[in-house]
Amino acid sequence: MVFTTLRMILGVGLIAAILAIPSAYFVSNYQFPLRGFLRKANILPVAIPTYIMGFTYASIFSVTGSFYAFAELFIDRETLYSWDIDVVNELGLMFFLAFALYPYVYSAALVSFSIKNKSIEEAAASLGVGPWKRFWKVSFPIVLPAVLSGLALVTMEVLNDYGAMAYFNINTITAGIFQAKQMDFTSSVFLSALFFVVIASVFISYYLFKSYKKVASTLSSPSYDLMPMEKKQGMLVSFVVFIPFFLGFILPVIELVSLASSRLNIIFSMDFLIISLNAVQLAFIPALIIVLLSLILLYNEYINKGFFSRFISAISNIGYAIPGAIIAVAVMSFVIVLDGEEKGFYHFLIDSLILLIFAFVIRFLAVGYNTLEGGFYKITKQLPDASRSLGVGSFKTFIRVYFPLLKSALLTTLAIVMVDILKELPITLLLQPFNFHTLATVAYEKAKITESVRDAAPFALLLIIVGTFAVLFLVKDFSKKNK
Amino acid sequence: MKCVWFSFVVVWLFLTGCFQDRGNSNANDDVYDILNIYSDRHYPVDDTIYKMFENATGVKINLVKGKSEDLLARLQKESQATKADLLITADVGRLHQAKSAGFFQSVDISPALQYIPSYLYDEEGYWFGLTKRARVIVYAKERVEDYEIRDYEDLTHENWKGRIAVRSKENIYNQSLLASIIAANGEEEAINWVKGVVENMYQSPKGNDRDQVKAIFAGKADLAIINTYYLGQMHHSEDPLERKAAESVKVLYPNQLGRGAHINVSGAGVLKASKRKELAQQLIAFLLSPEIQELYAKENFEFPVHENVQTSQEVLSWGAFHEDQIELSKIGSLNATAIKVFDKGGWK
Repeated sequence: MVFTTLRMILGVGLIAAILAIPSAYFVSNYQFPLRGFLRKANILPVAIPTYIMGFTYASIFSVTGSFYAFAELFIDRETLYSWDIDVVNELGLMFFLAFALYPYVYSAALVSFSIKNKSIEEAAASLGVGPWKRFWKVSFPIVLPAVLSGLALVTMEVLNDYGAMAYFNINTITAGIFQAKQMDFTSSVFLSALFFVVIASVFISYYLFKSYKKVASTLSSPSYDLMPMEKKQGMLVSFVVFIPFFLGFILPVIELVSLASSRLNIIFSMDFLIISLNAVQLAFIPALIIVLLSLILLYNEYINKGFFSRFISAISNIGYAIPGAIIAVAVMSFVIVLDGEEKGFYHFLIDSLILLIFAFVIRFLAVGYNTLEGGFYKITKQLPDASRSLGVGSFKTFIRVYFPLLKSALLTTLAIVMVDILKELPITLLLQPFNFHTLATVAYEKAKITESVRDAAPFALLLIIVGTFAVLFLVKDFSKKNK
Repeated sequence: MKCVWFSFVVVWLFLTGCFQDRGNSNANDDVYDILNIYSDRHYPVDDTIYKMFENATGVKINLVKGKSEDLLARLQKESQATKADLLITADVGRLHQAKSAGFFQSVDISPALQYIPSYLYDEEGYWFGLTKRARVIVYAKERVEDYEIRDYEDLTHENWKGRIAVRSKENIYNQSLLASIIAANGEEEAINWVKGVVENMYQSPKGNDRDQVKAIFAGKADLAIINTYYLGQMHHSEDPLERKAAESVKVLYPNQLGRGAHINVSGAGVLKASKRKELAQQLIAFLLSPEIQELYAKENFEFPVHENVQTSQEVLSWGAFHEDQIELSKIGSLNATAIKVFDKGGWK
């Protein structure tokens, strides 16, 4: 179980890095056809929940699925069936999860590729260092911390997935907790405690380590130009950057559309407009809280430098290390234990969705913090330092200097966190009040009835559409500001 | 201007978000004319049936739909403070878990049970089966002859090496099937059965029941263990290939000369904390009435638990069968043993 979990984490991380890093590198350094579009497009797979990605790919490669239908154009079905193409296994799931999760690495790498190493890269280029060597010797070491922080998010998402793992019958620690959870709580408590301690300590030490390293790389270049490419080379690069987007977004979306084709009208009905709006609202409130908290944490780190404030940030971020279901059970038990005999307060918190929102904040604060951090450290310290040395208070500096500079980063963070909450399933299923629906829960119910992704397809698509809108409208192009 | 719009949207989202109207979700304890249900059944027909109950009685039904594991965990934490009056879940393994955890209270609905066979509900009145499902063997029409296989026990025969498709041991339907084999043949024999089936599997278990049928369709396997209603759903799939897959197999109700085919139920129990016991009883009795039983059977390819209600024509066309009449509560209590036996026999 432990080895399976480690294998999954390493496998998904490796594939995600392979998909993400070259794309991020090319997009932030070179000019090539469709660059602007692909830059944003590679963030979009984040709108597809891991379990939907797993089910959709399993559906594509199922013997009645689209892959065989397509291959049948060239080879007859009997021969195809005799080949034993099997993707419902560990390796297959590693790929499918990586397709859904590589944007975490991509966006983290993108920010640091575009802000951190421009001047150094240009200097290296002017000294005649070739592109390969430049990448390995100059760019890569500088983005490594960002890549690691993206990979940390990927790891946590892998650990949080239960649906796809169950379908592929891969027994990770998370699955172990769920099985034990059925009734025997003592063993599950032990297992999750152990799990938590290991992950949390890795996480905390990582955060502390990272903040230490950051000092070395906060210098950023104010402006840069993208390097032009020859036409042929440009086309090739364009293709390379397109591949992850194709695998992580286009292909699964096409499959879902074709599965849902006879029921696409559901998407445009009034009921689902309302469900989508509810889902957006529900995601918005915790996202806003998370953005504000992340901002406070980061600003605190700037104002009160030192181990203690870094430690507070690290502690606030460990929620992400815990699988959603465990957080949900934990906050539930916490409130119930504190509450009086009648449990009126607990019921109020459930009915008003406050407990659900609280659990979301615990779980996703790390996502907000990590995303915002990229934008926050882009601001050169000279500006706020100057403001404060002129006698402007730290709060006023915050409002006058940081806030305007961070506007686009704040919106980006808001969007990323909202998309994450929209996708969330285990917490919502556990802490939902009566008669409550979100896009994720409706998709889940539909998939559960017939055990097929087909019935869930319209809702999964709706989820992806909402997430895509959030990403397209709110995620700002960091590099534009620099030009 | 943009800024004004943005803040307007923010305020609107915030306010409406906090005060969402969830269709009069008045789930309070002191209101009598409501019933709160935690349910793991998500079929559209269930919603129709609850509407019918609401119209007939004026009682409003509030639902939390979730996974059984989650609902049980939530009940465990909420304990006496839960607002839920009823738990509805699939598989007797889970009903038994809920009973032994002390979630249910005993209720007496004997008039409604007149036509319900006694092995389909808990004799102490803690839970009641609502619909029946059979876990059967299906085989490839073209490659397997009718006489080649008869019982669950035959699955271990070496003749079937590399020809059986079945899902994982985590699946509760498999656990209950194994529990029935333990009950019939004893633990030792059951371990051997598990080992034998594992030997004969065409691949390590994964996927769901539909996938096992598709494996037969693709010629990868010749036998599969599935719940019948999935086959019914596949026969009515929008995807022509999936319908063809369903047509490529035939249903075998096993052990017809012996104890009968293994059946299971989805069922309901009244929660101990419920202050609306009579109303909850009334709902269960309603769900067991012939009218509702017919709806369950017609819409879902499940079997009614009511003796006088006919199974749907389509399901009947797969043949009539004789079912294992062991007390389902026995199957439920053997769940933990079944999980151990799966592990001992190496079923993944």
